Amino acid sequence: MQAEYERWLLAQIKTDPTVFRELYAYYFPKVYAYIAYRVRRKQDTEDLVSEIFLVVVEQIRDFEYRGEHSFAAWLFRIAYNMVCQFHRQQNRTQYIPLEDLPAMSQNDLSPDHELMKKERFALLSQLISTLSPRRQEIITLKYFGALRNQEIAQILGLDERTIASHLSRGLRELHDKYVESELFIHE
Amino acid sequence: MNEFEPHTDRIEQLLNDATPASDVSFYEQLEAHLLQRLQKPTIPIQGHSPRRWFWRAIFPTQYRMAAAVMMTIAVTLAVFTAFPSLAQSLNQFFKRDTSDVKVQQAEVMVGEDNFDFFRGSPFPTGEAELFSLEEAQARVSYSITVPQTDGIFLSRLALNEDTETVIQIYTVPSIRGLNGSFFLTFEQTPANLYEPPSIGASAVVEEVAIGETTGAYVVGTYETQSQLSEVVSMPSGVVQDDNFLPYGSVVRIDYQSVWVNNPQWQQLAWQDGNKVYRVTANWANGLLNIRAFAEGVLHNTMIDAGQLIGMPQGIPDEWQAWVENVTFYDDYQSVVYEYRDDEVFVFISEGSANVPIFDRPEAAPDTHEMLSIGGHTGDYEAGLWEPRLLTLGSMPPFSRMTPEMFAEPIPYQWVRWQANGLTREVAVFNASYAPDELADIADHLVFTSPDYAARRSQSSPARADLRPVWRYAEASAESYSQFDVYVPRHIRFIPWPYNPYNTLYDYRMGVVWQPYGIYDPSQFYSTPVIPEDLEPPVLLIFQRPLKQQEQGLLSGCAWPESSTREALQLADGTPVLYTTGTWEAGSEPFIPLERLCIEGQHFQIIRWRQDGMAFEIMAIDANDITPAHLLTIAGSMERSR
Repeated sequence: MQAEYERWLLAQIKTDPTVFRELYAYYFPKVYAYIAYRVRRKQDTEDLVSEIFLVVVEQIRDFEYRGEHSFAAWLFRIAYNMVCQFHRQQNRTQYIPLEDLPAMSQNDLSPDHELMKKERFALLSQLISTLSPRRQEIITLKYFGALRNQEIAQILGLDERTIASHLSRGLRELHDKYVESELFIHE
Repeated sequence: MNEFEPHTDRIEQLLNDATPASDVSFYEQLEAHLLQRLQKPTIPIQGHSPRRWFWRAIFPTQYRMAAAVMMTIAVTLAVFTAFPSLAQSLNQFFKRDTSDVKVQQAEVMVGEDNFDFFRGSPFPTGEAELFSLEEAQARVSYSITVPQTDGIFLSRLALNEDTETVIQIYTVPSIRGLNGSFFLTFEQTPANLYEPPSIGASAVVEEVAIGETTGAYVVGTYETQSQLSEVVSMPSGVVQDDNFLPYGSVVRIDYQSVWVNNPQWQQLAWQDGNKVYRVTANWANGLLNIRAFAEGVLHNTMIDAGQLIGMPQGIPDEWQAWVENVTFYDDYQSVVYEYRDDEVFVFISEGSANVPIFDRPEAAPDTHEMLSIGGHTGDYEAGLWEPRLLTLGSMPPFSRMTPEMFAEPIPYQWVRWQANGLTREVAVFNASYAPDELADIADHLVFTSPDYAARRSQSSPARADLRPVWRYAEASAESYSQFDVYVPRHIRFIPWPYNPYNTLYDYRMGVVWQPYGIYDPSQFYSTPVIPEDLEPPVLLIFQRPLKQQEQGLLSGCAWPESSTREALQLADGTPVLYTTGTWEAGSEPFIPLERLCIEGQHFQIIRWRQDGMAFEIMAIDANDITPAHLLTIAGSMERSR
């Protein structure tokens, strides 16, 4: 979304709440995917996404635009806090059956294709959950929140170069774990 | 997939290909609901919630007990600073209330990571309240002073920007692992901004000499007696849950507190120059002499933060500064800079001692080579840190690491070199730098060393009676036994990961004994209690005044005839008898604990005499303990006070 357009939408929302649709349409898929990777279960994902957007609409009129990406950083900061709260309340990682996982596409995939994608999601999200908490956040914010390092740095309160370093190491680690899991599966 | 393709591309492709998407119906329903919300005016929900919400929402279940304690601390501290100095009735340091009973208010926003802050944990999960010395210094108008402490470690810095109060929170590794409940805070505030904390009407304030000035010492605290009311404000539109308050909710509780002269709480305040200092400690009874701490602060332990900040220069960007720490021990002085980045720990130290500042693993390093650092010859070592092989003690920084962190061997690397008469080290854990890379980093560090020698000569000579007493219940044991109890001079002489339990006097044997075991210290919120089913591996120290005829073991365990005996000596030449073997059938168990000294357990014992006392140190099934360990512990024994 163009920064100027986003700024205009945020200003406009005070008089015309319907413009929120535009922001929602743009950010919803990113927030949904990010949350899905962080909590995995479809029901939990929907609960958290609802809560996040409820907080957003509650506070959006008071939101102060501070330049490009400031809205994304604010939105994902709320999402990040929700995820942290969610995990604090969870005692342990639970096995989640495939049918409880979120769908993989709004398009009509063939059942086989959908199943394959779900399995891949299950594997990847499980592998991601074995990374350090910080790397989990950075990778999911990057690839599912579609955020830039600068925004992630803002959300997590870290230096941008630290984000880059974590991202690079995290991806390598994830790749190694993925290869290992493939070998294990094929043995 | 081309196997030569860069692997991060491959994983990125997989991630992009497995992006979950919502059902259209959920998307549309939520959108409609949100738009409806946006078009209505917002009214914050005020309501009364079940009490359990408050605790469950703020604190994880496993920390509830500690949390209750910490909340009391938080509220007490908050109230202490909430009232301006309406009347200088008591003195300049504390404000006496007209009653011991007062109504207090606590307001907490759910989602603030306030728990870890008050735990004083050196391993915070959130960094919201974490200030480095440099950050804190940039926010106050005076130069922060940092105590050079013996045996305690600066874990976090907090700041009250209104009063420019810098709060340094220390943990106490000599009761390592008890960081969750034991803390000491050292505060400094410009005298003209200092707001005396309130104390109960019956509080006893004692004037005490702190160096050449006079301070005020108070024992006790306000303790919560009953909750009067609770109001929860939640963000509007948030779905209520039976068990948890949603993020952003604010809980305001009115409750009644009563001042209790509880000796576990101590406060000491005094003024030096234009600053008022205040030391607060909890669980301090029998553990800590905060007057001695204050004396130490004044006499020989202050260092100007300006000399620490920003040192050394040239730190790689990926190492995030966490905390700086200055430690003066009897036999070495050092400045340790600590950096953390998730699993990676980096310690940079500079010290006056010509000995390694950090402990070394007992196992030989996998790699050892000489290299050049800025024209100086240095050592490079790398290998796996096997925690159970750790040698003598737990000097910083390792005493700050939790047992969980040592569950698996940790890869380590370090370089060590000498320059300007000082020993410098860079130790990296859980990372993999090439030797040249690490040498290059070391080479680019710029130190502006404090002048240790000058600082030492300015200070008063160390006074044994002013050293903080970090021991458990030696005082109590002494009062029962009627003799001076000896303890290892410092916790670092006890091999990691053995942690101390209480100190006890066995009236039947006339023996004082101190067990050290491997346990998860976080389970204790007060003095660790020796479990009845204590099992090996365990270390035990026994002592009592010499009798005319010593017979058998001080521990009361039956002397195994088949044991191997060897004459050894301590560093000062004191003769020691070292015995090792296996308890035999018919061995008497150690009376208070039935699972020690029983058949099949391996033991090592050293016995010696010193200052009219008989001592015995016993290691049972402690396979990583060597005779050298036992001799070192023995050599460090001194009177507890």
